[in-house]
Amino acid sequence: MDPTVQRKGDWLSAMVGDELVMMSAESGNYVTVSRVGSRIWELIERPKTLDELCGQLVREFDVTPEACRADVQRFLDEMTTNGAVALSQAAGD
Amino acid sequence: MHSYRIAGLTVSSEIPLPGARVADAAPMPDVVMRKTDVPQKLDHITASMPAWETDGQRFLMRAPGIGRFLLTGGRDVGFQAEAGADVSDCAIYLLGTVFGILLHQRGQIALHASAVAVGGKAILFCGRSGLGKSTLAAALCRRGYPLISDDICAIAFNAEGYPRVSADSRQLKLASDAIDALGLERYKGGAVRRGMEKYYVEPPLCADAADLPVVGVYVLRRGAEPRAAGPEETSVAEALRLLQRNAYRPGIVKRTGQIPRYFEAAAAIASKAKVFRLVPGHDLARLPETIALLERHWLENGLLQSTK
Repeated sequence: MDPTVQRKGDWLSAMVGDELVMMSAESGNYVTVSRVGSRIWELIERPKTLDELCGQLVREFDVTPEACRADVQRFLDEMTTNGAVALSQAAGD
Repeated sequence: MHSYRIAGLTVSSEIPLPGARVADAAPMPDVVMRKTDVPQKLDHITASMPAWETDGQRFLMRAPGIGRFLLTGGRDVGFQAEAGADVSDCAIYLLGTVFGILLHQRGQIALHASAVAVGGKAILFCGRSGLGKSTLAAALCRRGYPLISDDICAIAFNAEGYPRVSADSRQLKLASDAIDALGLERYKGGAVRRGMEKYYVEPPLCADAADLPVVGVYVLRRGAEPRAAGPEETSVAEALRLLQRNAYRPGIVKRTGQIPRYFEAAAAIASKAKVFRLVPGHDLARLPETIALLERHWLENGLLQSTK
């Protein structure tokens, strides 16, 4: 199973120093995201599967595939809780 | 016509604007304010609330008991006073809310804040009305920090993205007890409004640069007494939230689709300036304590030299 990761909702975002700050246009909630998280957010501007996402990140950051997947999962869990990301199973895998 | 310099703009007004900084007449003023017939409403409204509406180009404000104001292009203001309205009430409105909308129309950021200069850089104090921004700015001005602006801070960003606040130098509006406590009696002018306890006060010292870089923003919070620890740092998310909440007329910002612009501006300000929470305390007698905390803070942050 390789879920598709995509942005959800209407978010404004801007860099402040090293951090990406996001604000939900709907709820007015703020989320602060680290450097890696901000790269993930950038990459999912167009929906990507989890495999594609991790594959790209392993190439860009000096990290093992296992560590990368764990970090990405953690990030996606938090973003899902904030309503910023949706994971869906691709139809007819 | 009366000529002024307000929030960094040259202004020509058909009525006197008490409290505004008088300036030489400009050949082509940035803003012109004239008495004219103002419609009751606009067609093709894109946003509205009971007190105002806009068609995207023009902004119509209704101030009950005062009059109607029509703003176009951040440049032209037509106003029509209600029968029996005091013309000085129109003037107060023109200098306040109307000017805030003009700045929006010009693509600038307007914060509900007062500002003083510290070491040639701008320090802003934000917060709800009544928390003491003007009194604190007046006290600092008395202590030798030139006043940049009171009540409304017009912020623009230079080519490198640094926030700069325009020097406005309008007179302060202070209560009698604050005027007495700060020893500002000889700077005291007329009453702001009949029956209100505030008076215009000429700032003892005004910033002479046209605009100054913003390096610090203190957001005033309610509290009986100043915290001994002094100003508190904010997280990045909180800094943005506080800055956006302290936009001039945040309801209008929201309903006219300006939140993205203000969000970006808040991020830019938070990138280049530090944002703190400050509890100034209610009591005028505690002002010297708050000032001491601020000066220590400025020393620690390299804004002041230790000889001062």
